[in-house]
Amino acid sequence: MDYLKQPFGFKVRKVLRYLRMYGPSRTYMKVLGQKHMHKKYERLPRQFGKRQKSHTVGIIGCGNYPFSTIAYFLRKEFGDVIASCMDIDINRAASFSRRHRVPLYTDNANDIIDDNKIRLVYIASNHASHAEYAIQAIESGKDVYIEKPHVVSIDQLHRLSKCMRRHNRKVFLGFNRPGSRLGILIRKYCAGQDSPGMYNWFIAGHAIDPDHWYFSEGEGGRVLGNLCHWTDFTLRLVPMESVFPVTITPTRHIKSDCDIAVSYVFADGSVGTITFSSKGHTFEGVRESFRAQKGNVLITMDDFKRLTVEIIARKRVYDNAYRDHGHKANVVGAYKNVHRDEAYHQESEISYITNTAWLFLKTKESLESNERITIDSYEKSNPSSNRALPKARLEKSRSPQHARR
Amino acid sequence: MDYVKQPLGFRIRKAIRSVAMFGPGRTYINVMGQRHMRRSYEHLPPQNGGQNDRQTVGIIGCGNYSFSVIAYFLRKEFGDVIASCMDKDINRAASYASHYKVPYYTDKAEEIISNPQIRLIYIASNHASHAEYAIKALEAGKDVYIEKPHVVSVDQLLRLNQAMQDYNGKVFLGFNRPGSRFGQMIKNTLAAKDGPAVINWFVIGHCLSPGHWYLRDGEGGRVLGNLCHWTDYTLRLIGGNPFPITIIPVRQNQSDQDMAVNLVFGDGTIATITFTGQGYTFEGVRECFRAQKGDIIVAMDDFKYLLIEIMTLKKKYINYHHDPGHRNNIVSSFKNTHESARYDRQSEISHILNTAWLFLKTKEAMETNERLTIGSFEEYLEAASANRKQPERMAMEK
Repeated sequence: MDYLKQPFGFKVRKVLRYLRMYGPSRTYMKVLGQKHMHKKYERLPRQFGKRQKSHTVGIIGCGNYPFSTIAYFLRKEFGDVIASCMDIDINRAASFSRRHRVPLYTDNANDIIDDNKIRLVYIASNHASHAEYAIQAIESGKDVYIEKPHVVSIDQLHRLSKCMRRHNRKVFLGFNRPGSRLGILIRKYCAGQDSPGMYNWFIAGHAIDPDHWYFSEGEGGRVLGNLCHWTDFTLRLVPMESVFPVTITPTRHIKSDCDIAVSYVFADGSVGTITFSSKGHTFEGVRESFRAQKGNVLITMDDFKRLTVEIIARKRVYDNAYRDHGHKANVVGAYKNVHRDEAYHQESEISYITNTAWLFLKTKESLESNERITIDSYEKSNPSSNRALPKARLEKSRSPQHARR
Repeated sequence: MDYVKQPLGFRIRKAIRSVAMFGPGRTYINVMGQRHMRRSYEHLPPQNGGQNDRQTVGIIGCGNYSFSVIAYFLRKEFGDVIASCMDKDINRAASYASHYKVPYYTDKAEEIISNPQIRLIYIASNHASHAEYAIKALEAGKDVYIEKPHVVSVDQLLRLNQAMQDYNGKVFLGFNRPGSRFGQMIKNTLAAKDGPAVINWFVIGHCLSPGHWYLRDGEGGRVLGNLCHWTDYTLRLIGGNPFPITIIPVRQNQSDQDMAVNLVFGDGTIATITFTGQGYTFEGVRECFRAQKGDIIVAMDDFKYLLIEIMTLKKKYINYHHDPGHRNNIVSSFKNTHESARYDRQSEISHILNTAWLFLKTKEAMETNERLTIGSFEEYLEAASANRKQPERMAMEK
């Protein structure tokens, strides 16, 4: 839905609702994000220039999400650290640069990838290009933060996996939910129980037009564009050694990537079900409802706003003042990890990065074929990908949002 | 969990939580229900006797649910209307009779079924016996309220169908949720919009010990004992013809616990029911319902909180106490029989058959762990009848 084209009353109500959901500053940034997406310059503005030592971040893709989330949190937490921003639509790159005071904007990704002063590249372009840019950035010695989905095909996954093993750079993913406050609590409570878990997600996503770019050939559709958030979170709730083999059971009618359900039976007996609906407009954005039982622990979480944990007679409620999907923790965590030289456990991170992709790619395959499939881990299914690392990085302390089990 | 054997502190916390959830009246009767289940008499008490004209209800099965829900609401709403109660365990029947001042208790169902003054029989015995008692009661001209599941096999379903066709008695089912305040609101809200919906249930049931009678051979297990509540409600949310229905099972080792069942209805509606029963739930059965249909989003938790959003509109409803519709269901059956209210025989029979057909086939899908697609029960009957006629025709031709 194009909010700018809606009646004034609708826009006012939307803003008021968002103020309650996200607070004033994020609402303001989301409103600016809507304007940013429509910005067209008759004459492109001048480059800001004036680059400083702190400008060590590159942004590839200047859409709504990097504008209102990635750049917003980077700037809020660390000041002006973005050295250059790129979008294939130069108007967007220019608008991004004006709003976030970025010294250089461009429509050529090589201007960022070849920039020696850039240490970390945030990639939030169209889905099919994520892995391609990431591979190029890693090869030129950068650390990368890749928005979801980090790959759209098994070929990309193989190449990204090999590249990560060869170049030993840090790769962070845009799966923000597990690192949110409530996400961490859910994982903590689940990890405290030995028995297999029962996990259930109900997601009401945005209804998007059939000609939306998510549906363009090669972009991965909604399974890779949306559903992967919850396949990833569910995967993280199961101890890695107990995940595979996973049986994926699809439930669909006409469409294979929305108004569907997908269920997983993990090796330890855990069962996870994700129902993904996009029947209509969701005024409050994506709606997420999570329920779980693991042993005597019952968990209910709605919209990353409220979490209730019950263990027999004990009942604890955690409330966020605003919805917190973990965007800040994820974006900021990647920056800190690189710039403060924090520990990064290469082997386990690569295993996680490849296996979460393996799961969402196979989920897509299962939904498209409407067939139940059982998969082993990426490493077992693709033994050639599992070569030893050239040099393991030293492990110091681990930042919680990137800690893997 | 045997509450009577728990430490005092636990029991106090449980009672306090229960008061908050169900109110003092129901909490008291729930506590009484726990005691009732353990009551054993050295000498059985004398019959109360003195049956009056208003006592037109019979009870078959005097277990906890029957004691603390059926009899509780009947007495609260209509006074002493139970004429006699029966349980195979005579101690339970006696305890029931003495608590609810029931004139006559027995361990023989025939004494209730053959009592001419009884018009309506509530059947809440073990699952395998529901349909058997119901058929006998219909044959004796009674109306019946059958606790879920009303059948445990296709054979029982066929025989119950025949009895419903042959006799005029009304049949009511123990599926209480659709008749609850929220159940009706959800149904009406979703019915206002055309097109398929996406429905999701997450249900946490009681953890049952492996020796529990639900799990005995022939009793139907947890799919028929519990899950049928949500297959029934989901079926009722589908406008028009829900068939064909594809049933997709998701399970690990157990076929009726810690599993999910996904349903694809003929109109394109997708429904998922996740059912878990692995741990102890202090607040009893937990139910979370989510649905989207067009711009309507519905969120309901434990029949206590309901949120309906239609675009910018957002309405919250809160029940003072949890209300899964027990009262409405029990009371409305009594009223329907005694006030000669309307009973749309054809559509009621169709629902009674098809909801059973769905849960029986769900059980089959879960047990075989194979996807199943089913047509309606009426189609099954037609096909069965055609198959029977085929050899007859062939014999005649010969």
